[in-house]
Amino acid sequence: MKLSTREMVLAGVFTALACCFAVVFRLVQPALVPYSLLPMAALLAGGLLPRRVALASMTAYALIGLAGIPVFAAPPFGGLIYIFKPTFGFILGFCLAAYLVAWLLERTGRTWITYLAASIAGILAIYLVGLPYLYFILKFYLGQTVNVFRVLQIGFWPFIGLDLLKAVLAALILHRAGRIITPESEQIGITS
Amino acid sequence: MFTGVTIGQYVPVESVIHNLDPRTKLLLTLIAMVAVLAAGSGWGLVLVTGCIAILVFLTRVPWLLYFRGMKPLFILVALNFLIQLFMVPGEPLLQWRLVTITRQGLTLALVMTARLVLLFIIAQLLTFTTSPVSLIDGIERLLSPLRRLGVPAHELAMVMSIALRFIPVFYEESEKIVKAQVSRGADFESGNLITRARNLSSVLVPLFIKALRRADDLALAMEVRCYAGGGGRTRLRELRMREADYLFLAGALLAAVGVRLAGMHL
Repeated sequence: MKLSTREMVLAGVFTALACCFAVVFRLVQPALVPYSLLPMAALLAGGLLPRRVALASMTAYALIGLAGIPVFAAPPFGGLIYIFKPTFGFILGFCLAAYLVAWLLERTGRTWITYLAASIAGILAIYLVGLPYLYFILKFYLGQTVNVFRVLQIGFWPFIGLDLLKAVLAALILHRAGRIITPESEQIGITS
Repeated sequence: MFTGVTIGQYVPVESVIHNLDPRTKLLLTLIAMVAVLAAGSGWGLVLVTGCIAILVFLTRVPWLLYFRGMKPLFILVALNFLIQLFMVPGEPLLQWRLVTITRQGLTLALVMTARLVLLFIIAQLLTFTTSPVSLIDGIERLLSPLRRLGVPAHELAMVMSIALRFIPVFYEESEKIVKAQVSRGADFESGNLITRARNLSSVLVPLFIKALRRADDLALAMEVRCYAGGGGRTRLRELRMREADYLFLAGALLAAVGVRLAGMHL
C-alpha cells in the first residue's frame, strides 16, 4: 500500500477533522450534539475518501491519540493508557468502518440509499470490533466475569439507537457534500 | 484547551529518560507492560513496582502529575477493587452480616489494583517524556520493518504530522463558520433532531470544502518542492541510538526476566 502525496495530505486533513470532531465541537457548541460525533467522522471519511486513504486517516487518528495528544472523546483524552480502556476497541472499529464504507460505496455507486446502507454497515463494523475488545479487556485486564449478554448490555443496547441516527445524519451530509465534492481517487477535489 | 491540543501531555524537563531515543522509550514501555502482566502476585509484583518507581524517579517529572492524570480512571479502579473484594469466594477473613471479605478476594483486589495503577503509570511515563513529534518519528522507525508486509510506515507518520499541523487550523475555521452561519440566522440550539442535522450540515459542508482546498494547496506545495515519499529523504533530526539507550534496554530486559522468575517462585 503506497499513498501518493495528494492522498497522504487528504488523509492527514481528515485525521485533523476527526480530531476536531472529538475535541472542538464538544467545546464550541455543547448544545449542538450532545454525544460523540466520532462515529460520524469515520463514516464521513469513508464516504468522501478512497478506501485506502480513509483507512490511513483513521489509523493515524488512533495513533495520534495513543501518542498522547488529547484528541480522543473521553477522558483521559489520549495516551498509551487508552489501550486498556474497554472502549478503545471502538476507536479501532472506526478504521474498519471507514474502509468498509468507502469500499461499499465504490462498489455500489452513490445515491441516497447506498449512502444510508453503507453508513449503517459502517456503524455495525464499529461494534464488530468494539464489542469483542470490550469483552477481552473486561475479562482479562479488569478480571471481571462477563458474558456476551453483559457485554451487549453495557456496550451495545444503550448506544445503537443513537448510532443508527448518526448513520442517517452522516448519509444526509454525505448526500449534500457528495454533490460538491467528488471522491474519486485521482481527481478528488471540488468540482466547480 | 487550545494549548492543550498543540502541546499534548509532554512535560519538558531535562532528564536521562527525556534524552533517550523515542524508539528506546517505546520499547521500554512495551517491556514494562509485559513485565507487569507477567509478574504474578508475589515478589514479582514488588520487584516490578520497584523498577517502575526508579524509572519514575529518573524522569524528574513531578510525581503528583502521574496521579493527577489518573483521576478519570479512579472510579473504574475503585469499582473494580470493591467488586473483587466482595465477590470472590474463598476462605473468609472478615464477616459482618451479609458482607464477607475473603482472603482470596483481598489478594486479588490488591493485585488487580496494583496492576491497573502500574500500567497506567507506564503509559503516562512515555507521553510525559516524549514530545509528539519525536514520538511520531519513533513510531515510524519502529514500524518501518513492517514495510515489507505492506504497512506504509513513512506515509502514516506523514499523515500524522500533517494532521497535527491542521488541528489548530480547523479549530479556528470551524469556529469561524459557526459564527458566520449564526450571523446569517442559523440556530444551532433549538429544533428537533432533523432540523439540527440540517443545521449541522451547514457547518460541516463548508468545513469539508475548506479542508479540501487546503489539502489541494498543501499537496501542490509539497510536489513543487519535489517531495517524493520516504525513500532518500533526509531529516533535520536524525534518530540515533546511544550507549544509554542500549543500557536501558538491556537493563529493562534483565529486570523483566528477573520479575518473571520472582513471580514463578512464589
